[in-house]
Amino acid sequence: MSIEPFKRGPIERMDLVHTAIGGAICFGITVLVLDIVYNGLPYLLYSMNMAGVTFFTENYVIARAFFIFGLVYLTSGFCGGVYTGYNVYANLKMLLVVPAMISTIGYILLMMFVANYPITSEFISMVVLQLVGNTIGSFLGGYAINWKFLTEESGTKPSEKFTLEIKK
Amino acid sequence: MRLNLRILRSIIIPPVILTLILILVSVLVSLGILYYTQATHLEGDLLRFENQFVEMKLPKNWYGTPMEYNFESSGKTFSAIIFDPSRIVYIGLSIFDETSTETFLNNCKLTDVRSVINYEVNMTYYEIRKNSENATLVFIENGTKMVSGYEAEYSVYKILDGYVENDVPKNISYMMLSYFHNQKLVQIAYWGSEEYFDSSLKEIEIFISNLRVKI
Repeated sequence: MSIEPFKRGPIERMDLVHTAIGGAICFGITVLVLDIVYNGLPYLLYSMNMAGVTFFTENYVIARAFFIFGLVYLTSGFCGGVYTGYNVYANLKMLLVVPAMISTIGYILLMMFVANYPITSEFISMVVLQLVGNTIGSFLGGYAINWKFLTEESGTKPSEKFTLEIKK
Repeated sequence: MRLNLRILRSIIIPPVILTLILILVSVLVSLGILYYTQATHLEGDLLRFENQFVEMKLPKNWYGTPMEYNFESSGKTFSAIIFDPSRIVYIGLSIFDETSTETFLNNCKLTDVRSVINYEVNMTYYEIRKNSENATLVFIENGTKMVSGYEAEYSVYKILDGYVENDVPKNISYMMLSYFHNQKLVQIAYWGSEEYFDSSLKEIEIFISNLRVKI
């Protein structure tokens, strides 16, 4: 019996393995890209002749959080979601949260035990932001890779969906 | 051509579009906040910064970090560092309240402005020698300068072979200004690569002339 994406069904061992790999992809991309984006923002500001805004710490920290949210957390979550969505069929709605959780927990452990980073309010807000960004990205990735099945399942073709009828 | 359109249609689907929109919006919001910050503080080519300790203006394309320390036992201190990445020159500012001035002077066994300047210069030299064993401290001049309406004393030093760039030892120029006002200590340090130090003196003059210490 074949199971369609997002439908409930038994969770097999390989589903968990693929979900974990999705989490590893999400975590790996986060770690790789975060450093580039974090250090790249000051360079970008310097090239835009506005490096001085780094002095206004409160606004700069908020702006940097938005910048990282979009370019790092959403993107890495999306990649993890695409992998998981491609390889896992059953219970996707539930399982797509897992790559985001793995990535976030992995990042917390990395910062606490490898980088010895102190737990500050900024750190906690960045972790929350990562969890939200990774989760949204993961779901969008999972839905994107299975979009064809989802639209076919609804029984209407996308072209018919958007047809406008002009009433005379 | 038809195949390309097919691929394009399979890629341009709502979740992908939504992801791209979210990424774009977060980047635009981020840059919007930064533009707004610059626009609201820009005065000519300088950015105006103000808090309870100080009112100052910094060049709009220099990086900077302000820091505030507030300990009940040792008092309040405001420190700021700004630097020009293209010329490797730095300006450091420290403002101490009464309690923190007393703590600092007692801990370091200092008595007057001259001893504070000498202490800071020696500490900087000590830190540089950790990385450059052959560094040598050379005195250049002493003098006075008006800062925020008060007469500050200053000393200029050179630290020969202070750092190495592309396997070539380079010299560091270092200027330290300091003054007391009502038992509150204000320090301004200016240092950088010898080759850019003199050409950047204009920036330190502008910085000092726009500095208003409020405590």
